[in-house]
Amino acid sequence: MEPALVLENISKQYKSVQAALGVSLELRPGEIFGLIGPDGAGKSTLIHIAAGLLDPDQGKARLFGVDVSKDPEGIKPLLGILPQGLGLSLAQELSIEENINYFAEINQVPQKERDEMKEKLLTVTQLAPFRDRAAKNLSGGMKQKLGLCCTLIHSPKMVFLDEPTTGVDPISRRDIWYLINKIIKERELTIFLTTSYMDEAERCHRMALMHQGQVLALGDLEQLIAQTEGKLLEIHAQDLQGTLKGLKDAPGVRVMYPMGDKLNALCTGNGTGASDLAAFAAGRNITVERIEEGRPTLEDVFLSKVLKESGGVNQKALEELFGGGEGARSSSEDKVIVVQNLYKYFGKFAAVHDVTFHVKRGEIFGFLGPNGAGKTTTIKMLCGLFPPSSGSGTIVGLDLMREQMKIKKSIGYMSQKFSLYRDLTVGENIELYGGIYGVSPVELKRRKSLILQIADLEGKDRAITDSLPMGIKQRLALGCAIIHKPEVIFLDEPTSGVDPIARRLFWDIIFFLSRQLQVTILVTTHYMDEAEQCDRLSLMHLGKLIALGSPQGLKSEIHKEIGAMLEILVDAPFEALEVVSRAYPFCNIFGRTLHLYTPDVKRTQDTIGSLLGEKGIQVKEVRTRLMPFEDVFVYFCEKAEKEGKKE
Amino acid sequence: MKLSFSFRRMSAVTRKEFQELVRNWMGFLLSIVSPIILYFLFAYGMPLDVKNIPMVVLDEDKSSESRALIDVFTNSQVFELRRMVGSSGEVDRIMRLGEIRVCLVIPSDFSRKIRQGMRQEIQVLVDATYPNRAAIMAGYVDAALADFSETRVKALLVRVMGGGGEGGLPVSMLTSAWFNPTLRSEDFIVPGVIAIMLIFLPPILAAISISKEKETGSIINMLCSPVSKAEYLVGKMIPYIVITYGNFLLFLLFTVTIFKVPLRGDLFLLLGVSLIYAVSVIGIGLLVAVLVGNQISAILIVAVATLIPSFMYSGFLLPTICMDSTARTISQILPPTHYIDFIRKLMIKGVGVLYLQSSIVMLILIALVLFGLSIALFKKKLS
Repeated sequence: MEPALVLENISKQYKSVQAALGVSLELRPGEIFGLIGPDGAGKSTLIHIAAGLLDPDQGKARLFGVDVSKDPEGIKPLLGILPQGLGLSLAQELSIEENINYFAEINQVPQKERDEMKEKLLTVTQLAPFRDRAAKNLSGGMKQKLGLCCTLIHSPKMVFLDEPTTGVDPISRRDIWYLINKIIKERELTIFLTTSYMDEAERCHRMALMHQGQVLALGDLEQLIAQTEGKLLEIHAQDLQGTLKGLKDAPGVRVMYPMGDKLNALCTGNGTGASDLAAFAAGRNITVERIEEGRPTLEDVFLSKVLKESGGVNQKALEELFGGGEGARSSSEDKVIVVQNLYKYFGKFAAVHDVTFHVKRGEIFGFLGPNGAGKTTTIKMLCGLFPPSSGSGTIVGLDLMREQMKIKKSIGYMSQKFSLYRDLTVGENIELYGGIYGVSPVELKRRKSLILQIADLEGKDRAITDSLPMGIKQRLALGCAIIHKPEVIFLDEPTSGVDPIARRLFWDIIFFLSRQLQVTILVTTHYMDEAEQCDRLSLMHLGKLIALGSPQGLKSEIHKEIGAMLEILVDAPFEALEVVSRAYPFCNIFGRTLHLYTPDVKRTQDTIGSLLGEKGIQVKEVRTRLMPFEDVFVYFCEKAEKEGKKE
Repeated sequence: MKLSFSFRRMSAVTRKEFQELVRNWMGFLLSIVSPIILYFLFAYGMPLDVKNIPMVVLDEDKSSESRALIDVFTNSQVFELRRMVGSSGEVDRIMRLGEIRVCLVIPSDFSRKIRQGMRQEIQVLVDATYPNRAAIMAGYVDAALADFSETRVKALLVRVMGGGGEGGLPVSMLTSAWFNPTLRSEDFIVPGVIAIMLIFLPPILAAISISKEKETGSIINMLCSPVSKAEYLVGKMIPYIVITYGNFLLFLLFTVTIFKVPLRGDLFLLLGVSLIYAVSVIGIGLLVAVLVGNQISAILIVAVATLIPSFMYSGFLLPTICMDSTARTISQILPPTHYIDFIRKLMIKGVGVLYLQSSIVMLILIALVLFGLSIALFKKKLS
């Protein structure tokens, strides 16, 4: 069978950045191929070269046998592309239907065909009720779904999706993946997509791991996981951070990091086993619940490939920054953030509806919810950027309504997009923040050098901020946000698009600030593994707080209500879903498997084979799995939606 | 590469661009209204006539002769006598304040010398902050004094020769201003304002529409589609050509009704050539947007390339005949040069196509070159 897309030894360099270096890939027709890697790994460059938008410095791209650089116009009728960025490809003023029509006209789709396809796409994406709504008024997830419809309206043979789910909440992500799976099943097309979410890889047929312009590993999930060097040990313990500190230099441990509600340790070859590590822990008086050998995930594969000695957290610099000098703690109040019946109206629309919660000193409090749920609005009120419509609250004992200026001085704020001035140098950015918060020149000089240490930028204070790698930029932004030694830090999607290693380092800083320095942290994220590391978290949906508790607490709440999760590997997941979902309401498709929840695991395991067998679907494997945190998110949101409909 | 042009694809681009433009009503309103505001600012603010010059008089003579001289000034519409002043110190002060542009100082022996038939020099102080204006004002003062002198000479002749002397001075000039008999500066300025107002904002809007797509990345969808370069670029520019033309129609209406500039030539010729002009100005925005990648540079480059050169070199203020050869070369590549020449000749002189063909040919040429070059230079690639 002729491959759909062939990339042969592609290299491409921009000024000083090597975006691609000798990349060779082959995509089979009809497969979903994922290009997985952090921001700046060279994913978009490869897509642009494959689509004929960019000429490689070296190498060749062939699409269905046609040399892309020789006949770029010839392949275009076969292509669909969804560029990076939420909804950027859409005409913002046009309605959903007009956008789809526009893309159909551009591709000269006959009207009858267009209308059929349009209805189908609108139904699958559940966008049909909103067909007259302007694109600019859609949520991020809806925009991506519409972008996908526009990309597919002319029935392309090859579809490029550039980070279709980045910045999209888990529910919309699930919808987008459902659409991708459905489309690939119904028509002959090949999908080439990129993502920075490692957990999405499992949903692709085959994938390539990319890092700094190079392909680290290539194959299906099993093949990739088989490539992990060494053994994976999973360590369950109460105090994860303490355990991490005590065990990470144990003999044979190459690297150890928190992964959800446990620690993962990659160990060298045959060296260390679970029992060796348990003995080492006992020798150091560290209590662990249990240590067991685990099955590596793609993230473990990635970490094992790009592992390098990193400096870790510069604890001394952080301690020095927060200790001594001006700006002492203002109160000994235990509840640092208190919010009571908070409302915010924009016109008649309640963006925040009766929100009540508190955060204790030193806690890491996660703030989750779909795009447009009211998270950012709530954070803006807590930062004193605008007053609540009604309700009350205090931040470090200061009144939310009347002491907004004082609040601003005792909090730090960092958002993914707007924190740093990209055209300023590192030093200038630090000085700017110091100046804004009125740090005296002598003190500023001292803190500047500390922040440079924290961000791992010593001696680089003249570098232009934009030229730094994403992960370093984020650490610098965090450094700037804590230059005035705030008691509370608000982090709004601080790690979006950052590679897994840098993400872990960032979280190590967060943990140190929280555990050692008693700084209170409120953080929003779409990464579920980060959510799981919070002490407590809240879930917002349509302006309301729909869940509040510790990650484990929320999981066991679900467990009580709908049971445990089974993963079922079948040969025809879509047909299987139809059959299974009648008996099990909490069921969804996940790559080539089904995930379903059942109160009675034993009985389900025994009967599922015959239930599907009757319909001619073959069950290959059934196994129990730990509940992924994404399911917690989706479960509570769907529950809230149902209750909302009843009302 | 196959050369194909699909009208359907192009009109899809045009329709979408129109819808986006109109729905963003604030932007749409601005694109229509701001040229109108600018038009009125220019049309009212630009007239070059000097009228109602504020003046004061220091009359140290206070005789019937001095009063007769002052009357010559007050009777003209050019000067507006604000008041009489008492001392030269005061003259100095109020000239510094800038309220007064001209001061007439009549010396104390004025009437005596006049009566004795002696030559008398009069001191006239002119505010020369703006040299151009000062020269015009000095000219008017000169004319007023000549008028006074002529009356005196006539009176003297009558007295000496006893009757006769109606002939006045032996030679005098009788100017006949063709095409603009009353020398109204509006007739000269306002048609030019139409050209200048259309060269500035519309190409900026046009350039933004493309560079915005480049900036957000939405252009990627177009680059990956079967849309040809010409379909995309022309399709995208049509709405802006229409807006520009709509602006032109409004301006023409104002020019004829409010500013009462005569329209002596063929209306349909004017409408046709103005469409070509609209295409050529949008072509400037298009070319810039094709060449640069982001909105800010596109705006700045269009502004720099259009407004000032059009103002200085297009013949809007200064006839191109008066320019040196470099300036004249620059003027030849600017669409407004040819359009201003065309519209002035057509509206004021009322001449036919025979006298206008060089301007028309140049406009068509410029429009074709701008669009042709843009399409040739546009790459269906990312840079």
